[in-house]
Amino acid sequence: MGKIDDLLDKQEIMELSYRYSRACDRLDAELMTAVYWPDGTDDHGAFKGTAPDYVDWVMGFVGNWVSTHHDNTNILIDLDGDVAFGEVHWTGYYRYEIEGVLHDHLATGRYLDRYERRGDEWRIKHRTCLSDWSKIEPANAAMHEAGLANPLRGQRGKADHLYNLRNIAILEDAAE
Amino acid sequence: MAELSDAEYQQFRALVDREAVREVILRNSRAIDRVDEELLRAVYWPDGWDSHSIFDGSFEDYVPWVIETLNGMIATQHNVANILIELDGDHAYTESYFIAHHKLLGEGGEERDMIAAGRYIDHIERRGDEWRIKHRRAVFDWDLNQPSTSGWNAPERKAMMERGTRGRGDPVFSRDHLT
Repeated sequence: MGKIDDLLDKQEIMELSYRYSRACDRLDAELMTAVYWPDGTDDHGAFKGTAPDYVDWVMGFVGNWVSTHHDNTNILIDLDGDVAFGEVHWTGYYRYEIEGVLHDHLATGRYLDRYERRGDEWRIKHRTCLSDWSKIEPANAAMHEAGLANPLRGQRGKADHLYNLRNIAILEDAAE
Repeated sequence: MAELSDAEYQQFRALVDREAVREVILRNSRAIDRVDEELLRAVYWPDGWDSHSIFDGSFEDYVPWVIETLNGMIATQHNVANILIELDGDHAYTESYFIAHHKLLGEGGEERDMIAAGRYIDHIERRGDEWRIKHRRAVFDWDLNQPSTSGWNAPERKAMMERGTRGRGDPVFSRDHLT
């Protein structure tokens, strides 16, 4: 399989970062826990420690914010047997209150990761998060204000449409 | 590929399917940003369905609505990042992160920027050899609205880089300039 194996490994490793973002943005601790090995570690600057402790910390840290959205773009992965190393560009769109005023915090940075394969499964063994750029300004969120009752508004937690990913057939039947 | 076991062949097929599904999602951005109805019609099945924040209806009704909406804007760019795909035979269930940049005209005729972040929650279906969108939910997460500060529209800057355009005049539709 050679090169196809490499493609499959890289695909699986890339999805770890996507699932990590999904977990953070939906505040899904269970999903985030499954991205790291139980003996994994994380260095986010403000937090350094074990993966399970990181999950608790980050859920609390962003839990009070209004919303987060993490885009992962450039992903470069070096495979080395059952170990792999990755650099992942991220852009974070954060909204939270500062002294009662909604603010937008835009930030870019990179994850530097060590992945390990155990059995058939790849997970993060260590993630270091670096910040490269950011800006914070008062939010000017016309759609946010207007869309609070919109059924297609993203949610944190299990009310989000993500958790109805496969129930689309039911929606389609209802629409027909 | 004769050396592949059945399990390996299935993995290989899944990679190919995943790539085809990914390209459907990216071709949608091209269709929307170039305001190209013909391309858009090749991205959805004719009996498809689309649910946006302010539109919920058949693909047949979505096309004129979205073209008219886009024509009311100056320019858009829809960037797709994280794509997670669950394959199930001829069906793919996907979540795709997007950041959409819009240049608009304000009520006083001034240029404004609107940036929206969200996710496409799609049911993408294979019929024959082809994958297309059967049902899209565009879930909205975040937006920013402010007067444009586009420095690249200053006359002395305009020569710096060619502008993308809408319609078939965009360089993406011609390879002559790449020789």
